[in-house]
Amino acid sequence: MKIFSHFSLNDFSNTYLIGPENGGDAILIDPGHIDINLINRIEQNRYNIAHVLITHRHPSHTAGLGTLVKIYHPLIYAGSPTLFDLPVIPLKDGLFLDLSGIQVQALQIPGHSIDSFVFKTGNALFTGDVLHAGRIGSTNGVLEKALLLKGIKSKILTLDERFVIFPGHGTLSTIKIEKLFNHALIEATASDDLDQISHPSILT
Amino acid sequence: MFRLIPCSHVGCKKYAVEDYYTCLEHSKDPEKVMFIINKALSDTHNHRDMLITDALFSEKDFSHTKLSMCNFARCTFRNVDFSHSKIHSSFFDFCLFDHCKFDDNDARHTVVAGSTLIECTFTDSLLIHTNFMGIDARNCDFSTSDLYYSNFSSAHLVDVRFVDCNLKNTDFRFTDREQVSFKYSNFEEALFN
Repeated sequence: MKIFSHFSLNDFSNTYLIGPENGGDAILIDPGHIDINLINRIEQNRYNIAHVLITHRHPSHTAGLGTLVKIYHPLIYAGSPTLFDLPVIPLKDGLFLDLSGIQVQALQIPGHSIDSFVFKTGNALFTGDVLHAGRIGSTNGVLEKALLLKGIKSKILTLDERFVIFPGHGTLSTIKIEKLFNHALIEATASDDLDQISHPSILT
Repeated sequence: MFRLIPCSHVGCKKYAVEDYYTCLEHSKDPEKVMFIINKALSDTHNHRDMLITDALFSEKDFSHTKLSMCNFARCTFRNVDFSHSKIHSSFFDFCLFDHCKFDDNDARHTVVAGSTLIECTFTDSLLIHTNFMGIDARNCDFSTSDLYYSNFSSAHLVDVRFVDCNLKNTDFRFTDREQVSFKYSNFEEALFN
C-alpha cells in the first residue's frame, strides 16, 4: 500500500491518496481541491479513484468532489447523509470497510463538526480536523470541545503510540508526539488527573 | 507506507530493521547491518520505506540522498552531512543530531519532533510542512529557509537563527526562546501565543 499526500491551496488542506503498490483501485481522502498535480499523481501511478472518504463536510475537505466525479466514478463514504446532491454511503462509528482490498475502520469523533470521522488503516490514522499536529480541531463552544476531547481520548489516545497521524491540515505526527507536546491534550489529561485526585471517593 | 514489522526477539517492542527479522540490538551481526545501511544511504538513489531505529551514525556523508517514507526514530547522528538531500514524509523523531548539516535540503512532511539538535545547520532549505514539535535546539541555524506551515510548538530554542526565512503559518506556540533571531523574516505571519 502506498500513501501520497497532496497539499491544496484551498484553505491549506491535505488530501491523501491511498493505493496498491502497482496501480489499480485507489482511495482519496478529503478531496478539498482537485488540481492537475493530483490528477497527474493518480494517473502516473495507474490508479482509478474507486472510493472517496470524507472526514467531514466542510468545503476545504469536499469542494473538489464536483470535479472528481466528472473524471472518476467513486463511491463516496461520509458521516453526512448528503454532499452536493451526490449519492453518499453513510458511515457508522466502528464500521469496517473493505475498499478494493484495503481495510479501513471509520471512527466517529464529533466536536469539530457533528459528522466528523477519522479513518484507521494499517498503522495510519487520517484525522481530518479532529486532531492536527500540536492542536485539536476548532469547536463552536465548550460542549463541543468537551465532546471532541472525550472522543480523542477514548478512540485515538488508546491506540498504539506509534500510529502515524495524517491530519487534514498541517504536518504529519504520531500519537506519541501528540501525547507529549499537544498542549490541548496535555491540559485535558491533567484536568482528568485533577478530577481523579479530588474525587470524593478518594478523599474519603 | 511505514512498515511496522515487530522484532522477532521475544519481549522486544522495537521494529525489525529493513529486510531483517530483528531490530538492530537483537541482530546477529549489527555491524554488518549498519555497514549495509550506511552504504545504501551514501549513494544518491531513492530510498523508500527504509526502517532503522535506535542506531548510531557518526562522521557520515549522506549528502544528495533521497529519502521517502523512511523511519529513523531515536537514532543518533554525529557529524552527519545530509546537505542537498530530499527528505519527504520521513520520521526522525526523538533523535539526537550533533553537528549535522541539512543545508540546501528539500524536506517536506517530515517529522523531527522530540529531537535534540546541537549546532546543526538547515540553511537555504525548503522545510515546509515539517514537524519540529518539542525539539531542544541549541546554536542552530535555519537562515534563508522556507518554513511554511512547519510546526515548532513546545520547542526549546537557544541561540537559534531564523534570519531571512519564510515563516508564514509557522507555529511557534508554547516555545521557550532564548537568543532567537527572526531578523528579516516575516515573523508577524507566524503563530505565537
